[in-house]
Amino acid sequence: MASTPENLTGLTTTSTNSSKEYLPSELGVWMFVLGDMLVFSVLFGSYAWERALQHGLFITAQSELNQTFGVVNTILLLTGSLFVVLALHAARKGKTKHTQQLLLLAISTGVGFFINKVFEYRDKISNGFTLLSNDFFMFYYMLTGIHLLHVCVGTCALIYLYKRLSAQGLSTDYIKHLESGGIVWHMVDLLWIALFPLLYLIK
Amino acid sequence: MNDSYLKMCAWGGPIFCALFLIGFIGFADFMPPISPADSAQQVADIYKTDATSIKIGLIFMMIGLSFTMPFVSAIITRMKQMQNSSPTLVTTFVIVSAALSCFLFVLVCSWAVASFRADRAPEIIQAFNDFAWILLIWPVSLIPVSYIALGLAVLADNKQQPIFPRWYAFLNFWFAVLAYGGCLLIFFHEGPFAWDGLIAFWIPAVAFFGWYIVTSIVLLQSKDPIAELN
Repeated sequence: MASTPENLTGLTTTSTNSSKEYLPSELGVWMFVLGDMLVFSVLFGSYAWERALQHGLFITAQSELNQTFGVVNTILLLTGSLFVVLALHAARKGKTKHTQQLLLLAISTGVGFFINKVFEYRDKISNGFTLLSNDFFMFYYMLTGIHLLHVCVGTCALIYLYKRLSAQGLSTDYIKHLESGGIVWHMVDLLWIALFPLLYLIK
Repeated sequence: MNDSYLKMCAWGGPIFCALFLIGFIGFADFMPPISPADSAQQVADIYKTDATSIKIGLIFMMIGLSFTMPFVSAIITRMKQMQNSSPTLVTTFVIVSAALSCFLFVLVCSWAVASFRADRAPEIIQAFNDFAWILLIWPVSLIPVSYIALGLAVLADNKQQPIFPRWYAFLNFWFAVLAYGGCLLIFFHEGPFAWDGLIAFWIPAVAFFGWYIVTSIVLLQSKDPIAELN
């Protein structure tokens, strides 16, 4: 990122040392995110393995899923990611009020995702599909469940960021935190982008 | 303050891993685990044919277990020395670690009961075998809390001269994620989420033993911040 006069005057964490690449947040957060995605790769891998073994069953069971729920959740998460990015931009420009509003919008997409998922689970259970119905539904509940847990943790992180902003205001330290929150939120988004086609779309 | 006892205790982690795994893999031959899908007769036969080696393995595991306690004490000492040390986080870590020692003790006992009279009714042997394996995996629902408490304490520490490196905090969070894989084991007799599965057994096992090794290295490299000043 070039250090133009504008972003030097605002609240920016951009490194002024041009020889050094700027790393948003900190290395540990990136390591955690990569580690977590590694876990999901293993989960996706074992799903793919079972799917190859019981292809017919997985295709039949998959057709029971309602794609509308999946599409709505994809849109919610993607918009949520956009709000987090916009919040970070607003924070860098020192607009506290605007950052807060955008964070609230991002939090509401997380909550919306959760509510939508609960309705989807209720719909599946009322149709008689549970964790134990067959291997497809085992993976369906486990993968989406673990992902939902990530959404909850990510939403809590955003709520923490919102509260901290209200209490302490903007600072360079806060922007670092916001970057970490953003990275985690994008990871949750990215995982869903892989999960959604794997469970709902692949034929 | 003298750190030499702390460094000695820091070896408790690797010693525990070595003794436990020698018992678990070398003698008891529990790797891969006894399948939860096995019938009572199959389980009873395993305990009947391998009775002596299983018992030797259990003795190794039990003695290995005693080394976790000085090891955990060394971590607690360092947690208390950290800047912004939170008594709440330290206590959380203490309680979970103490509870874990109890779980491990009871689970080895349960294997011992199963192998103690291998000629009794297979269903009874199977019940104790089930109890032991569930007790081996299910603490993964509790252990992550201690990892998270430790990780948060590390993050709150002085950023210039931390006692434990910051990456170690994030590694703890990651181990917490890895461990949670076994939470739902009671639903499954086979597959990746059953007690012999990839997600419930193999990955948490690597995280569990890996944590002792990494923590031991971090402990051996750590320095008492007060001694540093003098």
